[in-house]
Amino acid sequence: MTPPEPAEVLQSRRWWRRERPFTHFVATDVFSPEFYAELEGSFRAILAGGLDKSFPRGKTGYDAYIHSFPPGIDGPLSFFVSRGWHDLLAALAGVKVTDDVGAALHHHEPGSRDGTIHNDLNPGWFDASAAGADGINRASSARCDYKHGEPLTPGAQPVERIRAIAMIYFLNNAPWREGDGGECALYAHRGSTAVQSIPPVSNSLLAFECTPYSYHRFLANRAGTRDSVVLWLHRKREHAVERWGQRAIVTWSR
Amino acid sequence: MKRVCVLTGASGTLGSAFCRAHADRYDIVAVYRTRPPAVVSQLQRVVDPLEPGHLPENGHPVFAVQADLTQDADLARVVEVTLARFDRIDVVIHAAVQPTFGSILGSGALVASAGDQFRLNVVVPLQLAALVAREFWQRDDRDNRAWNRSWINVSSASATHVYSGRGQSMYAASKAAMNTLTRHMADEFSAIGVRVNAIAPNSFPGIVSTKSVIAGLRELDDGTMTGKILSIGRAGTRLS
Repeated sequence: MTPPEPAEVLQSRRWWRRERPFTHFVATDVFSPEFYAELEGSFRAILAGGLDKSFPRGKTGYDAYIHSFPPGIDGPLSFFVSRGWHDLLAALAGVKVTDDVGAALHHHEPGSRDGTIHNDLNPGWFDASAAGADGINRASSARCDYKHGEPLTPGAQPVERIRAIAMIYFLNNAPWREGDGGECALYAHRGSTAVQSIPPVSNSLLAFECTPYSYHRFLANRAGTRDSVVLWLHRKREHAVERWGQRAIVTWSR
Repeated sequence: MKRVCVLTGASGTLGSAFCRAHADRYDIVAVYRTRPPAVVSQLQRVVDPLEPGHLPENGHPVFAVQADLTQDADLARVVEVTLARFDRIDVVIHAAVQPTFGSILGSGALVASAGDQFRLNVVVPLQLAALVAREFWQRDDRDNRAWNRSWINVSSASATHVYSGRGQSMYAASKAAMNTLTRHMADEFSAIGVRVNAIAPNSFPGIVSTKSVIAGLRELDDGTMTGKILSIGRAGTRLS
């Protein structure tokens, strides 16, 4: 299945660009009802495979079940790692990115704990020889380790990138009310109170450039499950180092 | 030239709607406590994800100012930043609300809220009006009259009616006090050429439309009346 072009499925052509606590974009009613239904149906089909089987438990510090997109993903969800969506996000944020994309489905059971405040300015490793026909190089856990770069298949050519744009798209969630939790909270610095909190309303999204100051975290969901698609575009490591210095990049612990 | 409007409660239903309706007619200082109003401002603008660039909707941004109006320093800052940015204040619309409803007999929350409700509906407009007058309006009464400067308090129909079973006792009492304050302000501010009125709508949006309340605000700001309460209800509007 060839993923649709963004112009074919976007419902809202009016997104908000907000400047505090750092530049970010939020939008509601992102996709047409028809395409949203397809996305939600695909998400539910994967979820039906079982949490521990389809959605392995996340690592420490993030109380979620995570289903990484396979590089050969097909169906409606493949839209998120398509050339069209990649180019739209890059142009929107005005960030010079590579063609490397990592994406996953996240599922939080009710009562999941608050995440830690972090900025997403992390490395991501890709097999340079694995780009698709459209030039997009989708992260593959079968070819090299995303966090540390170890090759996992003969012939893999790991190359280190740095996360450049983060996107979270909410779907499959019950109608949200104040107090339900599950928001993505944005902070001016680690010790501050949240300046903005983006509720997990289905068919809405949040996107921002990953910088040393893009502090955010998941807030505990008290009422129901909280589901989302998360995605990162990447930039060359030298561009990140040139802009913020080596020490700004937050390496993964082993 | 646009009139300069200080609008408290800018992220509320009425405040946001006023910004959307009249940002092209007023330079609006949109004062909010926690959540910025969902309108174009220096804090946010709309973008077209398919064609990033200029959009006409961004042509009239409001100037959003975060402030806790119960703090004296924040009140002073609202006046200071408004005058620093626009050099004048032509109208103040006090639309900030923090209603707490409940039974006098059974609601501890109602009793606990009494001071805060009275403060926001009576003490805050008194303090803010005194500040605006001291920092700007007392400079030149002829200039105030030439600009038809005014103050509008957003009151409520509950100030003069008991809606049984709604638990509005303290809310209504503080709005009644606001009406009385309005008339006293009008009496005193006539000396400096500033008109003072209040608008008292029934429940909106619902019994009356938000649009009709906004039209009432414009009527009070455009007119020549002072010391009046403009009621907006099912039967229409009435100036008393």
